[in-house]
Amino acid sequence: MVIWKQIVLLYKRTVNFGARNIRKLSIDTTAKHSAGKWSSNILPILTGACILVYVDKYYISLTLVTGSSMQPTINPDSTSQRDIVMLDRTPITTRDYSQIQRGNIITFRSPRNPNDINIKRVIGLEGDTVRTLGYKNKLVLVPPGHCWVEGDNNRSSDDSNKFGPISLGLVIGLATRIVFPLGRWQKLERKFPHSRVKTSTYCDMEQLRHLPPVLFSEVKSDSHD
Amino acid sequence: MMVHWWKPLALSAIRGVCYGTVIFTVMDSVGGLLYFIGPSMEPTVHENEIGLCEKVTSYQNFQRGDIVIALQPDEPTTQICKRIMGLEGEQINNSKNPINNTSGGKYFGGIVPRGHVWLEGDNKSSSRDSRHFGPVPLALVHGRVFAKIYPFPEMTWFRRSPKPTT
Repeated sequence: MVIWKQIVLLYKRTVNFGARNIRKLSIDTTAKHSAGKWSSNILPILTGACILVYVDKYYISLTLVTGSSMQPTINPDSTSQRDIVMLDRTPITTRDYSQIQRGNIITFRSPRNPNDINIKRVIGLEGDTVRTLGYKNKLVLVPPGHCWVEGDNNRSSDDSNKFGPISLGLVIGLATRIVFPLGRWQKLERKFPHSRVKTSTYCDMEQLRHLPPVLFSEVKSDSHD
Repeated sequence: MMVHWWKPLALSAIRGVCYGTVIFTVMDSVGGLLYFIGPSMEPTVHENEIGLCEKVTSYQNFQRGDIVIALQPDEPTTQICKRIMGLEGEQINNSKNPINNTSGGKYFGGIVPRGHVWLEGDNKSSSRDSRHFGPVPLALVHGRVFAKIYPFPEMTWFRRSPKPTT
């Protein structure tokens, strides 16, 4: 009699145990289902990240500028906050290099080290004759497809006066604004050292006349070519 | 008629666009399909053939003998496909003998400057390369051609020789 009772008890326990397991399984599957829902929420995040990557690569990018070679335009105070600059990538992605004009500030990969990215001002385009500051030749005719870049701060600038004209294919962005710190939010205007550049015959010098000069960079000379 | 029958379709379409965006971003930074024009890399690659390039190799991992695509230094809107014949610091020995330099370039070699490479097409007589526009800054090189996939009978991998241990 007692054994029967125990057998029945054991049987009931097994059934209950099995039933609990089945319930657990169904809970597990529902949990997994909602976990599946969570993993499918990754896709919008990933898509958003990819869209940001695309915009950064093809349209607009932000970059932190270090160094003092573009003083006083960018990073005017070496000890304080460094500037963040907004770059326009459309001249490169649309292959419309005519948007890069004399006086614009550009970022480019250094011809000396492809991992270095520099930011300088375009002084001369192809066909221009530039009077250099410290280059091996006093006068340089910029070859086709190249440009002459200089930093606004001539004292500490690693630019075309050191490595010569650079190919326009090295350019990776056109700096349009300073966006940070917020107090220095401004549009980066074109500036041009009128006394040191003779443009190619295809460009009208009159068009450049309105541009302000680059400080410290004009030549005080009596003889003009 | 089912209520909101278009919902599964719309959701699938949105998911498809999301997958497409992710795949595009990854493929865009990993490599690309190439269509070759011009005779400058014959007999390795002929005109109107299709190849694959990869953009994963970092600048310091390019080797001599790699077929690469680069922007032309004097014409930045044109992409050229040439072979690396010299890395920075290496001596290029091109004889000044006009027979060897039949394309009439004015750069005869020398030591490749820092951050530059020397590019030459395989078809020496009709290739406009470093012999014409000088050593090319490495940053103009955008990718390495690692395979040719069309025409199908001539499908090849462009293998790299093992890196010399200097």
